[in-house]
Amino acid sequence: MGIIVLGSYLSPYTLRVLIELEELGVDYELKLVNLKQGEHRTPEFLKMQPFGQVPVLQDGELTLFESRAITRYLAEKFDGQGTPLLGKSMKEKALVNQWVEVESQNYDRPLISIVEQVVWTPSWGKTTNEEIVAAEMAKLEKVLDIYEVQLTNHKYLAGDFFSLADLGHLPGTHLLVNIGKKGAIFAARPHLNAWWEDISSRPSFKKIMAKTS
Amino acid sequence: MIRILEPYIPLCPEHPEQVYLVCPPALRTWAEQVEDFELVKVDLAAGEQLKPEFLAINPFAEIPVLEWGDFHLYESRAIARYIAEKFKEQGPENFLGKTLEERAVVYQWIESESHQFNDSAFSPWVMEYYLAYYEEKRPVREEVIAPLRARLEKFFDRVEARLSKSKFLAGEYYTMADMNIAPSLWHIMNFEPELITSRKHVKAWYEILTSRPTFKKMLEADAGWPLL
Repeated sequence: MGIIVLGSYLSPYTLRVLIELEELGVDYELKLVNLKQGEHRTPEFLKMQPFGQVPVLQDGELTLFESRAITRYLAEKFDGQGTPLLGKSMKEKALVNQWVEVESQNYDRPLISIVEQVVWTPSWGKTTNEEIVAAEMAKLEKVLDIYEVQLTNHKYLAGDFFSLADLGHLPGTHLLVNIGKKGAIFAARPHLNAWWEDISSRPSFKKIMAKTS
Repeated sequence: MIRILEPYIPLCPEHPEQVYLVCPPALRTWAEQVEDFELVKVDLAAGEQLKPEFLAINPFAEIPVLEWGDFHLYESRAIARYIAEKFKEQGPENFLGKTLEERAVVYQWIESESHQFNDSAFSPWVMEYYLAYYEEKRPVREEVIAPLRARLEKFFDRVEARLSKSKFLAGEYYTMADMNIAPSLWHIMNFEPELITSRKHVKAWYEILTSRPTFKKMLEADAGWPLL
C-alpha cells in the first residue's frame, strides 16, 4: 500500500502536499474529503485528525496531520529522490526551517485572512469585509518588503536553492494573486515578482493547479 | 560562543505582536550546559528591536534570535530545532524522535501547538490577562476572554484524549512538542488553573513537565516575569 493523501482541492494546505509529491516524483492516491458537506467533522475523520482539518497523510501504519509536518516527513523520507528540498548543511537546513516558520507565522496569516475575504466569502454568497482586507493587506505588504530585500540578495528564500520554504508559498499565493486578483503588490516589488514568476512556472505547480480548475 | 537575544521586558504594549512566550527560555537552559553561552536582553520597551543593528540580523524585528559567530537564525521553532539537532547527544533521549515516523509525529504536535493552541487561542488570551492585570490595571474583558477560553477548552479536550493513550504528546517520550507548550501551561495555571486541573491526564502531564529540572531553572532565570 502506498501513500494516501486525504484532502481537498479547495485547501491550499492540501495543495502544498500534492505539489511536493510531484516535486519528489512520488506516486500517491488522493482521497477527496468533501469540506462543503462537513466530511472533515465526521466521527470517522476526527479519529484520524482530532482537529477536523485537511490534509491527512497515511503511509503504511503512520497517520500524520499538519501540512508542514507532512511535507517535512515526505522531504526527509524521499531525500535523494526528485528535487532536494531541505538544504544540505546544518546551517542551510536551519535557514530553510526559519523561512518555513516565517511563511507560517508572518506570511500565511495575513494572506489567508485576505483570501478568506476576497475569494472564499463571496463564494459563500456573503459580503467581503473591506476593512479587514485593508488591514491585512497593510500587514502583508510590510512582510513583502522584507521578502523583496531577501530576494534581492538571494535567488530563493533560504539561499540560492529552491526549498520547502519556497514551495510552501505556492498555493496560498496563487489564491491571492491569480484568484483574488491582488497581484499588484507583487508587481510593485521586482525581485519578489521574479521569484513568484520563477516558482509558479515549475511543472509540479502547473500540474496540480490544472487539476483544481 | 552562542548568544540568544531575548526580551528584556516580556510585554511591550505598543507592539503586542512581539510578545514572546514559547520555547527558548526552556531551551536555553539546555544550551547553557553544552557551550559557552550568553543571554542578551533586548529592550523592547525602548524599541531596541527596531534599530538598524537589530533589523540587520532580523528584519522582522522579532525576538528571539540566535547568534553564533556570523550565523544568525530567527523564528523560535527554527532556533529550537537547530539547537536540538546540533547538541543531540547532550539533550534528552528521543527529544525530536528517533525514527523518521517518530520525528514526523513530534513535528505534527509542534505544529498543532502552534496553530491550534498558541496562535488562535493562548497568545491573545494571555495578552488580555497581562494587559488587564499589569498594564491597564483593570478586570479582564469577558467578551474577549470567553471565545478564547472556549478554544482552549476544545484544545485541551483533544489533548486529554491524546494523553489517555500516550504519556506525552508524541508518544512515550518527552519531546520538543511538550517542551514548547510547557511555559504556556504555567501561565494558564496562574490565571485559569481549572483548564488544566479539571482534566486528569492534562494535569498529570503538566506536573511532569513543570517538575523537570530545566523547567525549574527557567523559572529561576525568569524571576522578573510578573506572576500572580
